[in-house]
Amino acid sequence: MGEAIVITSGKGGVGKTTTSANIGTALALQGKQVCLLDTDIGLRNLDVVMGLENRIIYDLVDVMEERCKVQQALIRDKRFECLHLLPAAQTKDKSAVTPEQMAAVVNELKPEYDYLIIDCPAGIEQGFRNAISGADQAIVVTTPDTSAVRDADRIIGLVEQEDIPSPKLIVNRVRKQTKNGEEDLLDVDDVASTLAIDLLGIVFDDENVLRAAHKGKPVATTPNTSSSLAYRNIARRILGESVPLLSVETKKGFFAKVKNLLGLQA
Amino acid sequence: MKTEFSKQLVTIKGTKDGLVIRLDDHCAYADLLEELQTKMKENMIGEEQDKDVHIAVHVGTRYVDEKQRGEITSAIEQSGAISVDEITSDVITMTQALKMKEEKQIHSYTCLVRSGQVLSVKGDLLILGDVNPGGTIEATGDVYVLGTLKGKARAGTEGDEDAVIAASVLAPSQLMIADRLYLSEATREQQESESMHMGPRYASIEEEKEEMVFHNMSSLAALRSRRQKAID
Repeated sequence: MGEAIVITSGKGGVGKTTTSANIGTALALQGKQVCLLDTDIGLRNLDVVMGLENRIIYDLVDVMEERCKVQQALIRDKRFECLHLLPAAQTKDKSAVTPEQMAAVVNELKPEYDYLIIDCPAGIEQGFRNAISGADQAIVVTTPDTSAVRDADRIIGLVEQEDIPSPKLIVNRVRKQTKNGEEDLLDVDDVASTLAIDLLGIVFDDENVLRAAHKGKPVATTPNTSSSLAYRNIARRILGESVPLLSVETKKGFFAKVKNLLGLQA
Repeated sequence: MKTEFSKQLVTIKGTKDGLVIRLDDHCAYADLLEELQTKMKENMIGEEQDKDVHIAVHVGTRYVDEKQRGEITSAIEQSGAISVDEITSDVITMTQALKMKEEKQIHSYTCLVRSGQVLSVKGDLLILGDVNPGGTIEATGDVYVLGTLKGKARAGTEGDEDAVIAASVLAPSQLMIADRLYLSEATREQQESESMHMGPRYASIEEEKEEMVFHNMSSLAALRSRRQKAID
């Protein structure tokens, strides 16, 4: 029986879809059976990031309205046998499905896979309710800026009301410290202490991510970029390994602080 | 029917605080009201009063509801020269007692109040945890936060101006005590870094200035005893 993990954030544009694609790919790299579920009905992107948009015949809404079997709608990834995608519909909107229907699809898929990665739409409305309904776990993605953290805080509050364990945190687009004393963004440990949930990983701001998404090839497949390493580390942590966080190079003592944070929850 | 004429249901007494009417608490309410009416009529008719006589009414261990209080007051005030200051009773209803208990209690919560969440109580509120920006906490009494208060806090929501808001790190976006509002002027970063070094503080309404002021916790005891004296 697999585990369904929902990737959510509240705010749009912080990297939910990128994170979903890369965590899914990284888990597949580890040899796990993975299914990516795009629940952003009407504004689907996950297929584009994965480079699979040309292969879509049936989608999530077709499955729910029983125009096809769930196996017919699944798209196999070009690179990995064990990575599948269930795309969202582009012609409908979020109100086309209910949380019950979504939970039914998730429960149908769960026995077939090790991990189900559910990509949640932005916002706290119907789309969020749908995405969270079948999940066993949640990962909250945020960037180190005030408004993203505020929205992440709100979404964590909502996730905590559901019947699933406390969500895990990924801080995306962290900038390496360039000059001393330059503090235009929040510290990762500030973010983690404000939100007060376990830190699953940090991903550095890396233009390779954009480049890879443009090519329809998740960055996690490239060997030597900081972001691909970060995503692969996150996948290993999901699998239960303990992997230390990547260091923010220049600022002294920072790594120790974050490691300390991780050590607290281990 | 009154069998014992000597036992009076209504007695009027002069005390050092003024006139007090004591009402018997064992007889039927109808009898009591009747006697009160006749007695007030007998005593007051034809008397010229220079000024209003203020009077307190004590009903003993009898529960009188709002309607009955009105009847008693109008029976006494019928002559026009007397006004009733208060009607006191030794008993209250269960509902009132529970409400009173709730308002005197400290409600303690161990949690993190996140953005969009509202925690509202009657009485005092103690939070063991942080209040994040966008979160709101409200109490009819005081608010204490053992953690960082970055969100909104309201104390004395039913008009208690003596209520205080205290926090280990007081860096609120907005505070309200009774109907007095405080909006933070400082930028977020300024405020957070400053209040981090300040240590525990509390906010209260300064009586003379009529505005909200922040103090170190050490002066809270002095404030409380000053206010206690003012009440006594």
